Amino acid sequence: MKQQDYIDKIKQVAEQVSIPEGVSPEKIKKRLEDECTNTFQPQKEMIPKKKRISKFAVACAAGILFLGTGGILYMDISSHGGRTQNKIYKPEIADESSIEETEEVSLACQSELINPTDYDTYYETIRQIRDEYYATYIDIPEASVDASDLGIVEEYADEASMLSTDVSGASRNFSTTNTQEENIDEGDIVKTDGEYIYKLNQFWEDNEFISKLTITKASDGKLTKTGTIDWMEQFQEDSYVYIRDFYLYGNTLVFMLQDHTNEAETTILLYDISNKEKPIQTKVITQSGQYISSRIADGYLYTVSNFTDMDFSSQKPYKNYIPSVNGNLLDCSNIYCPAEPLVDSTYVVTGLNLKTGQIVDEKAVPTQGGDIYVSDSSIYIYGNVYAETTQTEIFKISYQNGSLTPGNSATISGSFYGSFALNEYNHHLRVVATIPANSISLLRTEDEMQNTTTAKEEDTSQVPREDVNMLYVLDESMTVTGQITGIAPGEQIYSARFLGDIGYLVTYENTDPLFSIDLSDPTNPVIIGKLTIPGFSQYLHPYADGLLLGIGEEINPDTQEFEGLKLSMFDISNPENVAVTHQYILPNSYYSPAEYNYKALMIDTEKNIFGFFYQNLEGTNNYYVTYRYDAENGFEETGKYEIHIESYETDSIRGLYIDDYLYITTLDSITSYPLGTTTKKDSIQS
Amino acid sequence: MNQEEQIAHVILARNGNTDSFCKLYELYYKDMYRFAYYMLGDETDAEDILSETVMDAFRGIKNLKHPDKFKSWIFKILTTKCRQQMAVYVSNREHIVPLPEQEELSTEEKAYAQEIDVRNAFLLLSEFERTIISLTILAGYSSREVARFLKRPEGTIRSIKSRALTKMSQHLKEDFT
Repeated sequence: MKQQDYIDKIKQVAEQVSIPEGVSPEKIKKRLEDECTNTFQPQKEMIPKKKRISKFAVACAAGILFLGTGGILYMDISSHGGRTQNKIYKPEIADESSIEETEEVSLACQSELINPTDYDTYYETIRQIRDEYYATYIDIPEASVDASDLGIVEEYADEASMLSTDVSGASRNFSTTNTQEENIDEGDIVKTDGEYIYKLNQFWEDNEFISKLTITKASDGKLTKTGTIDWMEQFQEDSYVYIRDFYLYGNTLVFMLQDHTNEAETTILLYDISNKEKPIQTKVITQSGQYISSRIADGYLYTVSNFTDMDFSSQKPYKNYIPSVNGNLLDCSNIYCPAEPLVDSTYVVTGLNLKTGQIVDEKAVPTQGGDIYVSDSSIYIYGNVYAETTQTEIFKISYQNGSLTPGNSATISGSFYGSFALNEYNHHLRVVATIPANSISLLRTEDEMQNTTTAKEEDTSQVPREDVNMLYVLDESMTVTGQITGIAPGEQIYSARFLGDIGYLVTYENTDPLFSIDLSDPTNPVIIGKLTIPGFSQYLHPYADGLLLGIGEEINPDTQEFEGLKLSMFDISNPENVAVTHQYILPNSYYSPAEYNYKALMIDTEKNIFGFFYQNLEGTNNYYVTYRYDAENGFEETGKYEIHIESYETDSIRGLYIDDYLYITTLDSITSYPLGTTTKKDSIQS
Repeated sequence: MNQEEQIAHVILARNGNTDSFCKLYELYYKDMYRFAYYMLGDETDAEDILSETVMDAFRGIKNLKHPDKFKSWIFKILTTKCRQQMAVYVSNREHIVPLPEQEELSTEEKAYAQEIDVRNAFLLLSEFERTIISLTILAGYSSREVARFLKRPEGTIRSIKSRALTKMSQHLKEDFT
């Protein structure tokens, strides 16, 4: 059978799948009607958007152009249609006389946050703004942030930070989870302290869900089972405990649980592991909402969850729409009202002192969200907003010793390829975003694409003809101080890495330009270098002084065919003139999770070692490979280990080293090898 | 329903008309459900994700600027939600429960066995492969559109698609011969 036959066959079988009654148009219609009567009265005629926006503009800081949900500004360095000069498309609302004459800013500064006085007021406020939105337009309350509730002094801070795992690398003889920011730990499925390997085991075996943590002593490659935490024994049979990731902090293990009950709730479990054979559960903390992500900074755990199950159909019980932590409803001073009724998701953020196990602060903020980036002073919750063009909202919360201070938010045109698209340095947030061509309508048909090209001259809409990339620099109040528009038209951002005053950016269409951007002046970011090579890098990592490692793919620029995974080393000692020193294409390689998940990469630049898992082109063989880099000889493969796993396990492979041994973990095993050899030393089911 | 009618319904739906919204939904909900079902491999989750998508779409439809792009728009919301849900599954994928060896299966049982095998074939794929295959087979998009959607070169999409189909065909060849 040919491939197309399989496609047809699969489609045919798929069409036999019965559709559940719950999503039938009748049932959905009923739900929509209920929603209408319960939460808002839809109007026959919407008030024109312009009116709404000019209202918004008043609430915005002076000098900032508010673009509402419709505005988009970008620079089209047009390559077709004979236009060669740069042209700035102004958003339609810029024609409004009520808007200050501001150019070059495509950011929306949102109204500031207010706290409700009590739950009933919160309820009324939200009901009211929802009703008003659908009846007329939004009327933003006057801004008044009250930060006076942040007076919690944390006395354990110093002690706690002393406990923090040393990740500086100077005295370490083992690898740690590859994190975005050096001193901010991120959860993962395997951790080590240089003596023990802690590993999450979660999978189905013979129709039974396994959920446990194993502690294995690893000494010169020899593996000894030491302790276990088995959650299936602890919890009822019908609920299964799913742990997304965990942390190792001194003698404490911190587990982040996803919704193990029917309520959307995040659970944090703390275990004392002073005795490795008998870990003791010391604390259970819960917070409303699905677990999104978390970080540990200076001995404090910051946890972000998304509380979406808000039900405003009745005023009571409050828990239908007020999130809680440890079963207690958040105080009104910690809740912030949404200004935009369509934001019906609240993000719950907590700060937990890991030394005491006490929640230091808790906040509920209204934002659309999706993922987070955490710098050494702020948590940024970012996510796409559903608008007619692609936009991303970034919501800032400053933190210190567990206390949280919600700040301003900003909405930018475009979307982020991942958390590395954001970076904070010297009190400025730098972000890079791609505005896709024709924005929301990414999935155009071929016909439509051709039509757009031919009909282009007549079309005066705001939507870009081709992808454009933007860089923005924002200050602490989330106000844009500088930007570069129209980077690499027609291409998309594949990776970015900010190293101090210089940002590196990879865009791709047919070849891979690596841009160097000078960010030393926040008001005037400048592209200072551009290196073009075939293929692209999906992940960038600073290597030794003046070197930048790229992990990506080789693509034939003529045929567009994939030719294998590629390692590139860039000499960035002169950012204005970046050069490739070496590159290496992995023979017969096809896929590596390290391209998409930086935690799947083991890397220690001090020790000059990195390793990752990949699959061969046929999908039949799986390998873990380790490399070192030498300025003379380039990339040198120091080990290649065949791994026997099912293809759905590819994302759960990790490598780590302790002293002179490499340990490779799969869903249910740990295997050790002396570094630099492929002779197996030991292996256990774990 | 022709294109003009669809556009008319989008405009009515934007003003809060549930009838029109449901007429549009009716056009695509089967494809959407199957898309979610094969992406996630679970009926209940597929149903939940689809419900969430519809509610979000209804609340957000007033922002849909191009009324002729309803399908692309709603599939974009659905895909985002499915991929978020898949991220939740990452290290939690079910082992495939092999079916009993072919004995004397009735026609009905055979159809059911095929359905399960196709579902299992989807589960064999990595998250990325599955997204590509689902967008291709269940949402009906070309490699070029998928490439744009997933921000990957067209060539990469084609090779991954071909690789994934080979994987699936090995699993399915007994069913389909």
